[in-house]
Amino acid sequence: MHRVLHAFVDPFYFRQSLPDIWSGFVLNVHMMVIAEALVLVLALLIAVVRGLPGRGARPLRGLAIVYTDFFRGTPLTIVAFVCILGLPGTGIGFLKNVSSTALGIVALTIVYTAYVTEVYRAGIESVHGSQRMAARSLGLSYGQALRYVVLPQAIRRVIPPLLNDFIGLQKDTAIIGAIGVTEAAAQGTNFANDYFNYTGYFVAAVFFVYLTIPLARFTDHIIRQRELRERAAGT
Amino acid sequence: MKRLLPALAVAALVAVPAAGAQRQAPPTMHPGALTIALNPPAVGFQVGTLRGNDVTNPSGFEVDLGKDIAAKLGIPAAKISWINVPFETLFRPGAKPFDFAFEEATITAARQKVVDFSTSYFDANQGVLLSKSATAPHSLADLAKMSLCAQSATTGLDYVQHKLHAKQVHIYTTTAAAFSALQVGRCDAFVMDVPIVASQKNTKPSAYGAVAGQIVTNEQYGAVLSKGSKLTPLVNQAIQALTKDGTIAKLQQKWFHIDVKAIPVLK
Repeated sequence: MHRVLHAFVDPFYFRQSLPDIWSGFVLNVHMMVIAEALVLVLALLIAVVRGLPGRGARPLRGLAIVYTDFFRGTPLTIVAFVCILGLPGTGIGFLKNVSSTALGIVALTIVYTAYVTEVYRAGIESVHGSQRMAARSLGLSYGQALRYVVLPQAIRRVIPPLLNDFIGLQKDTAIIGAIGVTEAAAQGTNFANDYFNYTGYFVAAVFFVYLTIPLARFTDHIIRQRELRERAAGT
Repeated sequence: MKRLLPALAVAALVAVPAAGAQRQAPPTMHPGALTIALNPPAVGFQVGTLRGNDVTNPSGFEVDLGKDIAAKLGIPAAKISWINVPFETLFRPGAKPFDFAFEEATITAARQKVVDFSTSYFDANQGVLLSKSATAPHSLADLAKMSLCAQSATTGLDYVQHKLHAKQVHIYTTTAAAFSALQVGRCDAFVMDVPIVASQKNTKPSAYGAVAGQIVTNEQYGAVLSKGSKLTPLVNQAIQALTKDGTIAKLQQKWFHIDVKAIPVLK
């Protein structure tokens, strides 16, 4: 037991590794925040495209479906390798100067947009069709009905699953660490290889958890608030 | 019958020491067979095809050496299994899934605390392989200012981080990923053992810039065994014998066509 504790949670190594792991974790947060902002916007766009009515929009809907099917099914590791080592390898000039971190953000965005598109779509489809019809009969255009009637309700409903994906994204930034971006997990590996001690991984895990727990509590809070509001509306 | 018993007793007395003198199977994981860990590719040292955890059709300096050591241990080449074990996991404490590993591992005091090393079978320095677009460094101070690639858990990374104190280091988990990163220009130079980078440059000359220099680190490669392995002394004896009879020198000439002395020393 003592040896296990020494290998994974040694106080000396804890202090020793803290600054390095922290410097790596800043990179995790950096990647997560930018990727999440991009994901929230792009996924909404694709979800709306997927719901477009009419025959004319069929190719667009098809593209949206192909995109979500493909990238929801592709492991992030593969997409990350292709983005970070593959894209600059194409020889296209400007890609050579884009940093590995930025390309990692691209990979995260591509994969998580596919997930989040489905979340948005579920929200949009959960809004009853009569709402849309009522809006259209009041003279709102398709776009206006979507913007002022459907999406506000849809997005409110999917906030908990969105935050869930947000947490997933935050953890998956560690995958980028295998490909030349020295974030917290890669710093932990580096530390383990230098000292043959695994406390660095523990420190990295603590940082991740510290960020995740407030988010989880916030999600709970939002769910509870919505429940209260909907109950009040029912009376 | 009465006369037979003493005869049997005498026969038994003679037979016991005879059996004792017969060669005992070496203390490998699976008696009579040998499991050798590799982590290809390292051109010259070892290349092969990965099939799951197995390395099929391995060839190279370390593969030939492995076969010669097996022969000294009395194990035929057909009884050797070649498995792939990531270099990064080589120095983690605990039992190893192999009898010994040939992965161009430098013998260091820190690593010796967690694994056994055999007698050295190769001497090397660190080398600097440039990307196609990088300008050659003329000193270690120049090198420290460049953006560098390194492989995790290697002495090259250790040097770059703790001795050179390079500003920008990109760490990759495999040699293959680090070479790809250098090829696509993720960094200016890859710091890794001279024979490995020089052999890679020879195989794919158009993919990289020049081998810009070497850093004298006087490293020695040893086979890696589990800490306290009973096989260590036997492997040591085999390597010593193979060094003495010139086999190792011959294998080096066979697999490496690089003139290490011609590579400038960075100071």
